[in-house]
Amino acid sequence: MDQTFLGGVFSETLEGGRAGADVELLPAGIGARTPDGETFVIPYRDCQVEMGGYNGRMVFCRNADRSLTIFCDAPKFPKALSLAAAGTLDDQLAIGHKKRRGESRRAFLFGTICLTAILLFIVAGYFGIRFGARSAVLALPVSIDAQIGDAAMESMDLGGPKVRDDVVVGAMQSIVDRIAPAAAVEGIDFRVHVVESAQINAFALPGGNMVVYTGLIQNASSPEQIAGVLSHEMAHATLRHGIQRIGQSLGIWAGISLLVGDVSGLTGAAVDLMQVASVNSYSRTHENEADAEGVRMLHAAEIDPSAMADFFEHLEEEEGDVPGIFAWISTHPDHASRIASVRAQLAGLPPVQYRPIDIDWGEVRKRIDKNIDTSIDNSDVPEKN
Amino acid sequence: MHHQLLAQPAMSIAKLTLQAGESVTCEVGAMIAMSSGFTVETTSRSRGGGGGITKGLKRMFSGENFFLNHFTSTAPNQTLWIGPGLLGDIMHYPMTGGTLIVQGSSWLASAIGIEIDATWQGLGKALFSGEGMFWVKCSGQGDLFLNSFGSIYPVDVNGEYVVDTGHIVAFEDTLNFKIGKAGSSLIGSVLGGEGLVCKFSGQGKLYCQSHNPPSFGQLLGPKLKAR
Repeated sequence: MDQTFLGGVFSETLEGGRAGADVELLPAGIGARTPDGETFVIPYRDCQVEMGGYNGRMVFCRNADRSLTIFCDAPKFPKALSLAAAGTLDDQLAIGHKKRRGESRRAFLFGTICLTAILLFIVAGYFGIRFGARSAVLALPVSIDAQIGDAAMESMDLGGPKVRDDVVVGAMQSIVDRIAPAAAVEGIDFRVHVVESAQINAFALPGGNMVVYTGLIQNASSPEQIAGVLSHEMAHATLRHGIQRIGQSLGIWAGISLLVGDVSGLTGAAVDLMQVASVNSYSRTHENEADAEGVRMLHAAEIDPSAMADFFEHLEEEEGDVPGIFAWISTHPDHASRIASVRAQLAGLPPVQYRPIDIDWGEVRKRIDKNIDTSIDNSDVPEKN
Repeated sequence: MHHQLLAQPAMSIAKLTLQAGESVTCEVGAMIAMSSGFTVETTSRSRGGGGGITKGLKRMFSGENFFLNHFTSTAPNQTLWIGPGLLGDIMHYPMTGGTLIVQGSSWLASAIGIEIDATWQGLGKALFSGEGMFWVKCSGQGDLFLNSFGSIYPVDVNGEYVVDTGHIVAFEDTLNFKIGKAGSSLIGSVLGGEGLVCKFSGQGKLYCQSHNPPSFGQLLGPKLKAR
């Protein structure tokens, strides 16, 4: 039975050398009939078969001198051709199929390798930028931290008036001064500002400005517990977590432009960002790092680090009574696991004779608990935005 | 349908003259001017044929429009002027029943006997051919009009032929191409400014464009002022 497929023909006798055609498998050979009615036949015995074309599945049947080519890419054509030619063209068709399958496999492999390479490039780029930003900002001198931190301190809303009582401020400063020699980075000048506010919180800006809220002092039962919180906040400054956050937020190019000295344009953006960063939580990694570094600093300063974990536990117990006021805890999530990791770190520390903090804690608490308004100086408190 | 290509190759336009009852399908926005004796129908399917939403979406992936405009003449000797969006050439290809593979966005107009579809070119070719992810597949019989950026030149391939990526306008489906390097080494190819090329093999007609929009954009872009 004759079969007809859609295909085409190449012949020098055709205008343009090519025409679409109905391809027929005749008893005498492969026939092609163009829309103009011209017919061409290639006997099966003279037929040279090749596979190719756009999709690689097209069958080209050429005559002996290759002056005539009939082609067809119908999916059923190869099998029909094999049957019509009584198997005489099977070897050539098999070679064509094998070649096509080989090319198809190579193309698939090539495509898969390319896709994998692109995905790897994207992932590597993401981590490269993150690592690059961290490296770039850590390469900056510490003086940049102070520049950004001082500017942020001047312009930010501290949430209450500054306390000017020399006993209170002096006590907090002496705690910080006791810990400061154990800092991992030199050149940070820690300066304590005490702010009247019920919130139990403290934070350190890049470069050493520290803010301690009176609520924290009122809720601590010993100066060592205050030292625990302050050492954690000092660790954020010494480990340069704030400046790293700026680097991650502004991108690696901002870090590089800071590195090459173009500080002016980026400082403003960094200050804005730092104001938000100081009141929002750091990443979990940074918090854990600050805990560990805080414990190390306390131990090096011969202050009992267990007070840090004690204060965490105290706050955790009290938190249920006055939710929302424990800002320090609320910005430091998952404190149960943090307490556990601090306790674990304490167990591994070498034994040392801890020395008490030499401040008049009773007088500090008395002045805080007393009507503190009498000792407040509002003269240089920035206006709220 | 009688056609005339004018102002070639830089700012080509095509003047089509249709008799009563004849139709032509054009890319959306291709019409520049026309006689008053045309009815215009906008659909996502071929005139009198299948398609619809699926083919419309496939056309969009290939860089063409979801919709097609069908112009049907209601009177004798009605003229329709069409042109591409970018400067460049227009070519006429008389289809006689075969298939022509066209780069995305180069299809301009065709007779109603021609089916317009999209076809995937494979991941490797999609990434490195300098063309779109999909190609436009034109098959059937009748007049086909394609446009390019720059002028179009035809090449009769019988064996092998090399074209730089981004310079293919169309090729007959009897041709196949692979992505390869221009020189013997990849580094040499890149340093020579050619990088990867399309290596054609088989027998058939290949149509190339003298320029391509991405290269022009790369030259022009840095000189433009920011908004």
